[in-house]
Amino acid sequence: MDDKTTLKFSHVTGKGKKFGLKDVSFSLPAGYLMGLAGKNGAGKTTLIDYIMNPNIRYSGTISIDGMDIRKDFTAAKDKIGFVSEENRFFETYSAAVNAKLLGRFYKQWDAKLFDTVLRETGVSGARTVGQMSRGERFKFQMAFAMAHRPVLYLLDEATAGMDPVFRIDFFKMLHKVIESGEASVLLTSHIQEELVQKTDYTGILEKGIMTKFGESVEVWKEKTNTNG
Amino acid sequence: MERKNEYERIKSFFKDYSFIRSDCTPFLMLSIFFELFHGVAMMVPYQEAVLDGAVYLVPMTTGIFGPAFYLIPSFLTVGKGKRMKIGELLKYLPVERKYLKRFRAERLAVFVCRVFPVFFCLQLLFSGLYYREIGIGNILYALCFGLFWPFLSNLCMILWNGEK
Repeated sequence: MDDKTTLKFSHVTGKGKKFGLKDVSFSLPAGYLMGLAGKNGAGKTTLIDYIMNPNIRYSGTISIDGMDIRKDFTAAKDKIGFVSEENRFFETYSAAVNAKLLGRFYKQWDAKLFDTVLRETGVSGARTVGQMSRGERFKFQMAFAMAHRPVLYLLDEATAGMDPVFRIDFFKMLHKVIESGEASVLLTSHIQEELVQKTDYTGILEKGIMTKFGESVEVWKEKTNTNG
Repeated sequence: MERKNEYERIKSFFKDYSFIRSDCTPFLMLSIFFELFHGVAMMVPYQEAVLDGAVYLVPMTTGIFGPAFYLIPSFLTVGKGKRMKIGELLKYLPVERKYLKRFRAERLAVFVCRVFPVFFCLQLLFSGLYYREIGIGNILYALCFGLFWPFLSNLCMILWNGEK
């Protein structure tokens, strides 16, 4: 594995009565794409929440780019590009207005880069977010994320409902993001084939426990052998 | 310095995403009109009203419509805020919650300033119904709170939010 680690979970266990992670540990090196697999309710979104939500209590450490996120959540979130099924933008405003309103919170926000990437994806900046199709909304979110140059991209069920044609473009976009070696991608999905073929590392969650983690090909080979 | 910059970023964000939109101005103008009318109506001696019914109708309608038009912009903007779920949205952004809370507290203070005159208007309504004669005290009372307070507070809010 590369010496530079983008994301590291070290014995992370949730506190409190709510469903949480149980002794989860893994490292995602810089410049790689990791898939997080598991059935519904396995804890995939919960894991993402541990990174994004400062109100969740847990033992262990979560580090982004070598920094414990609990020391400075604001700085940690500045390094994360988050893409999800949920809408996190103003639906009644256009892509361009959303970028202008919200991009200012990121230290490395590059408005020109946002415009360029959005144009390359074929989505108009004048398009209202609420009227975008699923694919357009994903492209907009990716353009927004890329424009503030994060080190970690978190994609929560981003491929759910994607058609096969768009899926090809989607993974091309992800590989473009990581090819410089400066950023990594963590992608949650319940589509096994996709994770085997498209990701470098895979982690499998079951009821909050990371049962397997490693290079994708090995993980799925082992899983197939276990399942017979 | 970094913290001050962060607060300024949030403030500029809310200024751009203004809770008093220009499309609410007509409602504010109508509100001011009704408040002025209400204030003037309070100065008319009741026993000189042309129709007996109008004696009570004028202050009642202005006392109701004035505050109603005053509150409509508030509901419009609060409604938008709820739809936007500002707090939920901003939690994904690199914003410290304490700055968000601070600014939201300021905006709450502004909202209270808008609602506060409503109670004065209602007070005027009831005092108008109660008093059968208009004396100098009522006139001054009506002038102060019926005429100037809603107008001034509206103006203050427009200036506070830096409406373009």
